[in-house]
Amino acid sequence: MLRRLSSLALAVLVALAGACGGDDPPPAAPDGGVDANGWPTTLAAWGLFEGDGHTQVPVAGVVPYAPVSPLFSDYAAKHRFLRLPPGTTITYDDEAMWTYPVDTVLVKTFAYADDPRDPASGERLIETRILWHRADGWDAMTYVWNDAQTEAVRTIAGKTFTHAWLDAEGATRETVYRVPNTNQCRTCHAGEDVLGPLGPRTRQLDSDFDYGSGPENQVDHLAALGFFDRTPPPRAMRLAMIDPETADASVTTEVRARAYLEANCAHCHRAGGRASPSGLYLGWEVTDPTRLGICKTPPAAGRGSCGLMFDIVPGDPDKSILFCRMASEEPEIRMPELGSVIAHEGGLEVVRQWIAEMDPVDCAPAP
Amino acid sequence: MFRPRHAFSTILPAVLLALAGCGDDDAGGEYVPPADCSVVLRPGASAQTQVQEALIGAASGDTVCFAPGTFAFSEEISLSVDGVKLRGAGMTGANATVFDFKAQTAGAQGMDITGDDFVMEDIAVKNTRGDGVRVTAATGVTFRRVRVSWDAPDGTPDAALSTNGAYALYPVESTDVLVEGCEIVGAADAGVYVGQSRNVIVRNNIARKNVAGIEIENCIDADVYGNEAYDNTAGLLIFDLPNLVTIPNGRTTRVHDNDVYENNRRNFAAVGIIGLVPDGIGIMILAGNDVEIDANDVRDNGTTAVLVVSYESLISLAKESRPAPPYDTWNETLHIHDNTFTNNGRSPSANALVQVVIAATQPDVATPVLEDILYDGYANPDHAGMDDKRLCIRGNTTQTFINFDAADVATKFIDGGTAEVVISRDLAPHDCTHPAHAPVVIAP
Repeated sequence: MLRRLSSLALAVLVALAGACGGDDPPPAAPDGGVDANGWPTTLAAWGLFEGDGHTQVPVAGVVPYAPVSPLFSDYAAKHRFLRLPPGTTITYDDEAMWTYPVDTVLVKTFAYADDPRDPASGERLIETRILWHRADGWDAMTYVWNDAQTEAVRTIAGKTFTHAWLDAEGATRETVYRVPNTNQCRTCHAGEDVLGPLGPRTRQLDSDFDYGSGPENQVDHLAALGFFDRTPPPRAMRLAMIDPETADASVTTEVRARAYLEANCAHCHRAGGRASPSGLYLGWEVTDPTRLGICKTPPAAGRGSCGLMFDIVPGDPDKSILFCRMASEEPEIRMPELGSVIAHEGGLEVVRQWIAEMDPVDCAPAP
Repeated sequence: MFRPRHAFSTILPAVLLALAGCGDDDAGGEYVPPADCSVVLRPGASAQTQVQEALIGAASGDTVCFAPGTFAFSEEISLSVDGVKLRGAGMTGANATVFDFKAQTAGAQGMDITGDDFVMEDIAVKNTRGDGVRVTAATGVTFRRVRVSWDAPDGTPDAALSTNGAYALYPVESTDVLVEGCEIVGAADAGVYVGQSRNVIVRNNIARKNVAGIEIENCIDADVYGNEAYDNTAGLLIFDLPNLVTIPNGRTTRVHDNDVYENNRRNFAAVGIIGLVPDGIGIMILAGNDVEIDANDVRDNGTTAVLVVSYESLISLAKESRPAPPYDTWNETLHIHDNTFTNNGRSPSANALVQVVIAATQPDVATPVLEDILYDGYANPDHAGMDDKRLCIRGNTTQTFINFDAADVATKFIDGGTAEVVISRDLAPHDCTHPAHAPVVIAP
């Protein structure tokens, strides 16, 4: 009890320092310190990485992964890792989200390369987000890296700053970076339900990843590590997601676009998701044209309607609210609401092409 | 839904002491925080961080108090903890607590609430980029004496502009919703918008200069009473909209004892279904089920006191597409009784559909006056002859009425086809009653 009280008092001090002090992250507790909620106050205390973690080289037992269709995050590079507690397994499912054991940790670091044209150039780490499966459910936190790139500390209330970075063509971009507050973690990861992971499941990990000895299928790799409670079906039997920007010309635009919407929209646009009131569902499995927005009038859009009547007008992306909102950088119009502030050229291209290739339908024949 | 693991309440004295020293309050020097404040926040340069951290750190049962003055926010403020009350010092006057989002650069609404048992009172919210305060999927929502408005670019308060947020107070997919004593000015869609919610009370509010003053959309069990709605495009809307999932069809709304007058503001909504609403409407029912409209004072609305339209009219007249099941397009079990209708319909809207109705029903009248109750005449053919599904009209002070036969009006005047428009001003088919609604009760 005494120990709990003292950690509580520490948390109060930390919180108060933040309350009066502006946007700086609260000072870290001594190594190994935890806050009143049981969260380590530094990323280092998680013991996930070699050294101070700047190189993002994981220690043994921490497995990197990459989704087939990633969430766009203003062109940030992302390093993702998974750690299971010893002796536990994931309950595997072909379709549904996997069920992870208590004390599973999912890790995602956001970084910008010093020069994306040069693979050998270094990178600047911004934040490392952690999803932790606790005894009473998943919980989320983020750790913001310091300028010296030696330490990342727990940041509850988020952080907003302007930063400059080089894009893939080497041009300097200057954008606002928003480290989410813990409520905003919930906006995407919980919606109206309980908080949980969004990415790592069969269809999103059923692709090759180089763990250091050449490409290997990620699902097969995890199976070989003994991470699953059963043997997954052979690869040919599994239904992998598609990388929307894949070079494979045989992949249809529709499949690319649906894969993009699944990863970038469906965490909110689903039953029980944040955007559930809209009735617009954009998950991979959705087949009802109205649910997908075809000739669907939004109930509640305001300026977010872009002055247009329908979510998607087949054949006409420029009359489609969905496309307009993806292309906007105005906060009250832009989709997604969180996670990025700039429009994603690659995503816009595939969605524009998808709508343009649809057989034209006159959603509202003029009188 | 979300209960934090720590109990902020146990460390209240320390928080109170420490936070009292924060910031530079610019008003309300005599503010004495109520005794039950768990924490007292004061305006200052770091309002964004200070308030957001306090709301993340709050514990269930906390009352977060806000001193008078202006809290200038640069981003959305969110709350996910259950059982938290936000209490300001007043929504108007020199000692008001003002949440000003003029400098907002992020967030689709000003405030984003997901915690259950949420209470917000005595606070003014201004200049949100999008919606004012959104509450999603909460059980237990109370807005009490909350004012929402937008300034014009030159700083003039209470502007009605299409660039304002769509919804001011926006509880959605929630249960046990109470909105009372609030004032909403200038929402570009609906001032008080309650959507896909259950057990709703909206009472004693003022809604003005909005497109829709108060809108109940796809709700089950709602009471709307004691409100004053004026100078909107339309005062009170009871709508069921299609293609929704959580509540595809609403039912059981009572609208009574409201003061609904001079709703003649030109529609300034961007587009959408709301953009179709003509100005000059007191009360409008769209695809309603079991709606009781009684004892309202409805006056000086230029187009009509009560507009009753099925979604079939939106399909035939406005060329909306036909919604998929299970959406129910029809109006059924409407009961309009014992209202006071005065001086409505005397300057009908220039809206094209209103003009079509006038052309169809009184083509040779130089200065047409529309009826107190405009009814599109659509009735579910599957329920023909069922007394409990009828539109009942009885006991209003004046109750001029027209069934304007929207189906044939559309064929003849919109589609250019051949049809005989059969209008009727006969109230006899509607001289009936339905059982009175039981009041909505929200358990404390």
